[in-house]
Amino acid sequence: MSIVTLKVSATPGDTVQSYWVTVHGKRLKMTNDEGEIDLEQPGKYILVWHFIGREGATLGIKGEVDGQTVVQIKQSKISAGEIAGAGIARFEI
Amino acid sequence: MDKFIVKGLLGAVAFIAALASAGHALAGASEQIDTAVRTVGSPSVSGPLAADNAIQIQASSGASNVTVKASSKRSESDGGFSVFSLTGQTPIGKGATDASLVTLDGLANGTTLELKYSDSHLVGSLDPGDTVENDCETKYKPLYLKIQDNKADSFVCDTDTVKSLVSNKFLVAKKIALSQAEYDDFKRKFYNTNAYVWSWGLSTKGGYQDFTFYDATSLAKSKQRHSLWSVSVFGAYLPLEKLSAFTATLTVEAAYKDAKSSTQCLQTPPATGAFLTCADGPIGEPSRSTTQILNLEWRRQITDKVAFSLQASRDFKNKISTVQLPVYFISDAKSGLSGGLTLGWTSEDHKASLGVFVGQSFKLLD
Repeated sequence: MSIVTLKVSATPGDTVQSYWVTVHGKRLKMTNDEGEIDLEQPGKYILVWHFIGREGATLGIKGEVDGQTVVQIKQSKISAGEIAGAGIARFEI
Repeated sequence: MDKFIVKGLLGAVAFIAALASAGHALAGASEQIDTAVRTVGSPSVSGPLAADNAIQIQASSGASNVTVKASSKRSESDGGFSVFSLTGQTPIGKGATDASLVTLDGLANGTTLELKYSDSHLVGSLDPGDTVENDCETKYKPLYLKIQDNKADSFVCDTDTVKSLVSNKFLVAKKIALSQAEYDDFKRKFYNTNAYVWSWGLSTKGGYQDFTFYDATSLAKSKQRHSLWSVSVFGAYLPLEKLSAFTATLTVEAAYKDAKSSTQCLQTPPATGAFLTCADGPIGEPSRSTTQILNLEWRRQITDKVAFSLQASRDFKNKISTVQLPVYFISDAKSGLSGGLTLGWTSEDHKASLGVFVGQSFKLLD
């Protein structure tokens, strides 16, 4: 049993209006930009994120297991002229 | 925030001066068109989708008003978000009754406080699972490393990075850039082609307005203060791929309107050597009216540099329509300012107006 804790940091100033993150097809419930998921088996997993906001708005995501970083997205951005962004990353536990 | 405001105001002063010259150059282009130099704010402060804390000064020739807004946003578990906001507005300076642009909003020139709630949701997001993960490693990352000096750690497989592989000059010159269709295909793994954000909301506004007028019989100058209120409901639709926002707002309001301005003189003949007593301005008390106003707005970003916001309004009681078309020339992303031209028309006197403006930069989603 591995509890993955995801911490999200959005651009200050409310330029990210909303975001949601999915691990292994399951959307995480976020409280104060932090959410958890229990991944029972070791292996490779997919992290997907969506966010809406203004162009230039950025989102960072850090996933940890027992204090060890297993995945980190330093800065995902909404492109010029768009109001939504999204991305994908693979990680292993 | 403070730094931004100071920087923004300094930028605005310089920009207004430049636009003032442009405005004067436009004068005389047509006798049917009134040319004015104006500054306007973007709908991001007063628009129904606005979610920011903000301070804005809006001015026209000889008059201005200031708006202060505080808002609180709450994200919802399904990716939606709701916003509560409180907005105060008051006219400042001389000639304040002329502060607004072509508008049917009877509260536009009053001192008002507005409470607003809006709720927004995105429909059409997709979970690509591992279907794009392979392309990230074999297709997009190798291209990214060619332009980022093999900084593998900085690669993020997201819509922004993949989009940059379409327009990068080096990749284009080498003829290995991604095509727009390939980027669109990547994006549609996360958002289907018909994905959209929809919003709805309610607002209520109350306040007062001071009026100065001349008594119709004695031409004595008088002042009155009247209370104003309005209630609005709105809906908005923002298709992700069209770079557009459609908003419909229905407002019921009770406001006062100045009597018609004219120049009148007392019929009493002046005593020898005295001047005739005349008055120039609204003759008679302001009149109260309760109206229903429908406002439709279409905001569209055409290119990275040009956008417009077409607004049409109808006052059903007074049977007056207005159309306003600000065209934004997006120029300064750092200061958050943009300027442009605004065309206006009202059915009241069938008169068109043309002005230049500077304000906050154009945004589809506030």
